[in-house]
Amino acid sequence: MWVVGSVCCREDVSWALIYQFVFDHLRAVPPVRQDLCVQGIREEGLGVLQAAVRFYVYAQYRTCEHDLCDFDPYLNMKHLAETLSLVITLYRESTKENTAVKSRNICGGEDISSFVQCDTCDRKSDDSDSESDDVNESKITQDAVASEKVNSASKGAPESEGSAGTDMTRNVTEERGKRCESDEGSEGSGSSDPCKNTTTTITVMVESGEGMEEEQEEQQEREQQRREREKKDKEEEQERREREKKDKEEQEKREEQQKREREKKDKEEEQEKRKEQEGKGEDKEEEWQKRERKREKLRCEMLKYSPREEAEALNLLVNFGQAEAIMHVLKLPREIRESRLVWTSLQMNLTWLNNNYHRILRLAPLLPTLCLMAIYYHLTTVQRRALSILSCGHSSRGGLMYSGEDLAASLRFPSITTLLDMKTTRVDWIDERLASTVCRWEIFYFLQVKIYCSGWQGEPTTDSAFSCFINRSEVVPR
Amino acid sequence: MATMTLNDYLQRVQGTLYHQNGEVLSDLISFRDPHVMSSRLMVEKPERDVERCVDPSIAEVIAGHLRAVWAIAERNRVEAWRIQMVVVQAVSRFMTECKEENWMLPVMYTACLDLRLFALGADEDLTKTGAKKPGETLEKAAEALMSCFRVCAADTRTGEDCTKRWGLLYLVNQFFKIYFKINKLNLCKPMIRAIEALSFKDRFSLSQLITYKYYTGRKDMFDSDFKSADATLSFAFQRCHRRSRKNKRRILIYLIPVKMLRGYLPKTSLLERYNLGELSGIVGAVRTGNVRQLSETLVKHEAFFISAGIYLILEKLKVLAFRNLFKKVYLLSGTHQIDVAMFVQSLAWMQVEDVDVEETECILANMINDGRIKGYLSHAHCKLVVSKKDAFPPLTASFC
Repeated sequence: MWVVGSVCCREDVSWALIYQFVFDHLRAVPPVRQDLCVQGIREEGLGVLQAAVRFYVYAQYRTCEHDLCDFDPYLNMKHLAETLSLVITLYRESTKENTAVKSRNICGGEDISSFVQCDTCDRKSDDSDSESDDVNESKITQDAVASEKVNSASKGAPESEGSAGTDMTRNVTEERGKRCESDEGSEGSGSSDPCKNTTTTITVMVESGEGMEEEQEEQQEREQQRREREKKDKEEEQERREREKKDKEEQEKREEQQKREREKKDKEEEQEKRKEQEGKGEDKEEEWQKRERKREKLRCEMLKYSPREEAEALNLLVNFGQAEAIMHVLKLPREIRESRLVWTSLQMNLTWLNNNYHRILRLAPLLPTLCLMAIYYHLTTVQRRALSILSCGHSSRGGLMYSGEDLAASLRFPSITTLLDMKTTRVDWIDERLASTVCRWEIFYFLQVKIYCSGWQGEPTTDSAFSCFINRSEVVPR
Repeated sequence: MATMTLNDYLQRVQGTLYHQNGEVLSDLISFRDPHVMSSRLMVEKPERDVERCVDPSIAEVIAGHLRAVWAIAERNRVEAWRIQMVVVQAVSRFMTECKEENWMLPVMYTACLDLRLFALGADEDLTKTGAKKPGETLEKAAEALMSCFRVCAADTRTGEDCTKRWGLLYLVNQFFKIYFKINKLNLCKPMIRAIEALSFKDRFSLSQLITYKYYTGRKDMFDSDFKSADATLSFAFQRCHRRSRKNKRRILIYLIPVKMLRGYLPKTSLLERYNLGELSGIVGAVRTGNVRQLSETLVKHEAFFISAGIYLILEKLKVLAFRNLFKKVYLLSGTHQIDVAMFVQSLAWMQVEDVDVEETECILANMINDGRIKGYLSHAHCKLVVSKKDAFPPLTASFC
């Protein structure tokens, strides 16, 4: 770590010499791995290997302009790939050890380890939800049982008292009337008025034996009943009228609301039309600003990554487009796979399967500097393929109908001059220039990239010249 | 058979050797034969007894087999794997001694199959304890099988009737099963070359041919050679017996995505018959151009697709879903000059994240490049101009 950290920061010696020195020292690292694992100091070993990976990635970018005698890109890439696969294997083994230890310590399988697959996690979460639902359901059933008991008690009391006797029946009617009122929820009706059903079924039992008095009493009672019925009918009519009024009022309210909503929509449409008439540029600016804010957020989120996430993302970007790397990441635990950095790198790989160059070139600036250095090697291939697709898709009668500046912007070149270096815009000529290896050196020479390293704890460093290449971002150092 | 004595067993072995009966001898060293249940054959050190009764050329094989029976009875799969490695080496030596004969090929088949199965079991046991990396036992088993492979491949001077090269396809299938398990598909190439070089490669038994076609079809699929993959997997599916439903289902898991990429969508009845409900969502989404449903189905059955190894190919089907969606937009617009904004809106409606005009132009340009749309894009006017005749040619016509 001292070699990589302090030696690399020296500016009195040429970078070529520094690279050779560090490269020779790092060649001793992989055979030490077995000893590190046996001795149980795996974390330190991982740290050393990961620092080596960062060095190779950085050197791959920094030294791309140098001659073959100073820097062999093939050897560097080979060592990078080997060290990276070692790091990934070590992380995988430590993950399996952790799961084995946790499964031994767990009783009854209630505790969930962080590396259990999503299916079991979902099942566990479903179980926990079902447990809480069971608790709620038990409460509900208890409440229901209690209410049933109350109802049965209240119903049973009048039934048990019997049907004989006027006083008893009147009491029954009053109680039933009260219950009916509480069931209906109606307010303002007298407590003495019984429900319809109960009045039809209830019969007053009279036990007197005298005839005429009984008849008069009966007539009086019948008249009372008629009056009561008439009163009820009137009240029902009043209730009906009140309900109709309420319904009408509600309908009117709804119609008013709908009118207001229509008016609002019309206003909004008018505003939109005005905006369109005023100028689409303003909308575009607003949209661009929104996107920039979103990207800024994403960029900040992407700076927060663990060493494992960095290693997995670098693996994806160094082996860009390779099915094995993508399948390996797809089988990772969800929390690592769905971290912002790994997710973005995975999306770039998956969209490349469908040749969606635009999304790759749009996502690339969001990456931290180290990851950008890992992917730059493949960006030329992406740009070359993009140019051939554009030339096929936009060509009309044999010519590429595409503005030069827009072309440079969409392919993430600083300007059209770096793309062309000539005045003509013939696609064939551009394609030939891009196909040659000289073009790449010219681009970076023009950019005059200067990158200063400051420590090897994953802190990104940038220079403004880099932003020309990525065209938008300024990676915020930690 | 389950109560066979040691003498009985050894006499039977000697008898088969005398009559050169490869099938019966292969049963006598197979772990799927009931004789392995006999406690009298679970002998830890059977060498003396075996050498007394059996011919020395095959004594090592039989002694090893009996030791392996003992190891399995002790539930020691790792020891059984180690012993079976020795058995396979002994079988290859036995085959080398028997010149211009190939009656013992069934013996080789059985020994190799048992070795692969024991290696799988030992791999599980050793990976659990962390003693070895996953796949190491299978790699070593492949090395042992290679000795038999060399013996068979080197038998070039004998006639077709008695050449040991008839055993090559079975061995290659075993190699495929190991290499696919340990994910080293690049090692399959020399095997395929060896089989393709044989003059009688089409006269092997149907079961072996189907297994061979299945694995070569899968390999072509991973190499993105979909035309060849379609041909080989279709052969395997059509010639597979209709009662082998499990095998047919396995073939379909790979054949359906390949066919879909070439423009042929399966019927729902086929998916229901072979219990492939996971793929029905994908098929429906591609048919209707519903990109959102395709993404949701990929997420929903992610674990199944990743374990089968078809996730990446199903991601490629998104292009077909886009094509069907854009065809609907074209039909709705009614003109042959369609504003790109309409395509952007359709993608936004399908909840494609962060899609803009440039990305939509990128997708359209890709389709024009692949031949799925006939026309061109006008970047200045932001329009797609399509051919008045057959703007969206049938998917089966375009190359992939």
